[in-house]
Amino acid sequence: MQIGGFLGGGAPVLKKFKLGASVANAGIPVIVDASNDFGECIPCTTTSFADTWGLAVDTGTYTTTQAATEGVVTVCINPDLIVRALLSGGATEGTALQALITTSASAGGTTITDADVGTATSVAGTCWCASGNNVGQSRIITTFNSAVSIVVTVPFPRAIATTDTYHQCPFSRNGSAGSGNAQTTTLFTQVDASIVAGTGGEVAIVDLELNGASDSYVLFVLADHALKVVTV
Amino acid sequence: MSHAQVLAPRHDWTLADKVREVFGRPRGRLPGSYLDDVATQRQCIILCPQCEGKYRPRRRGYRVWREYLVGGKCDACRAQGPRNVAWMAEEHHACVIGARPVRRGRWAL
Repeated sequence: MQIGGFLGGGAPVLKKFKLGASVANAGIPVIVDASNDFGECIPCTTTSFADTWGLAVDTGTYTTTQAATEGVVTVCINPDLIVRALLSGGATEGTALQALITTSASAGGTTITDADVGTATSVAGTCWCASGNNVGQSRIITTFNSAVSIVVTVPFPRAIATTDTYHQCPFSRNGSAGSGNAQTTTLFTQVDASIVAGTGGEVAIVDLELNGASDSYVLFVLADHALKVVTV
Repeated sequence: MSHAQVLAPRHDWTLADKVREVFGRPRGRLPGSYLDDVATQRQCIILCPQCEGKYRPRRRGYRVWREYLVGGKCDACRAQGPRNVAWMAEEHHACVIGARPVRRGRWAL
C-alpha cells in the first residue's frame, strides 16, 4: 500500500514504534499491540485494521535477543492519511482482476452476464468497462446473481455487447456495504478485490482509480485509528 | 549558525541527563555512525534542515521523499520539527510512495 495523500493537506508525521511482532514489508497498516505486553505495534491482519497506528514506511524485526538496538518501525501516524492500495483479484499479491467478458448482450446497458462474476456478492461495489462500447464508464452494482451476472440500476450509456470486457470490485462510495470495509492480501500489501462487499477491516473509501486488471487502485482512510475515536 | 548537533561525545552528563529516555540515537554516540547503522537496517532516516547537508543517505541506496516535508524527530540531532526531510530505502520507496507518472504539465487523454 502506498501513501496517497492527506485529507487535510498537511504534512506526514512519522514516528518510530517499538515492535511486538516483525513487520516484514513496507507499506502495510500496523495496529496497536493489544495482545502483548512488550510492544507498541504489530502488523494488521487480513480482515482487521482495528486501532491502527497508520502505515509502516519501512520494515523492522522483532527480537528478544539482547542487543544494542531494539526492533522499531517507522509509521506515518496521520489519522487523515489516504492509503492507496492496488486491487488484487485474489488473496495472493499481484493477482489480476477477473475479466468479465460478457456472454450475452444487454441493449439497455444494465446487465453484465458472465459466469466469472464469481460467488462473492459485490452489491454496492463498482463495475467498469475496460474494453467495448462503454470503455471508461463505471456504475455501482445493485444486483448480484451468483456465478451468472451483475446488474446496475443506472445503465451504461451504450448497449453492452458480447465480448465486451468489464471488471468489478466490492468498493464504492455508495454509503452501504461497499464503502466501509476492505481486506488485505496475504502479505498485507494490497487489497483483495474478490471479497464479499462489506467484509473486513473498517475503512472509508475516498476514491477509486479504475484502470486495467493489474493497475487499478482503491483509496481509503483507515477509519478505526488509534488517534481518533476510541473504537468504531 | 548555532545548532544542537553534537560533534564530539559529551562527558559532563548530569543525573537528569542520564535518566532521561533516549529513543533513537544513544547518548554519547556520534550521529554519523548511528545513521550508518540505521541505513544498514534499511530504516527510514529523518533529517532536519540543519543536518540534511551533513549526511548523504543517497550513498547508502536511499531516496528522498520529495512530495512532502515530514513532522518528526531528526535521527541525527533529535530535534523535533515540522519541516524535516524523510529518506527511504529504495526498495521501500517504491512500496510506500510508488512511481508517479510524469505528465510534464500536458493534458492526458
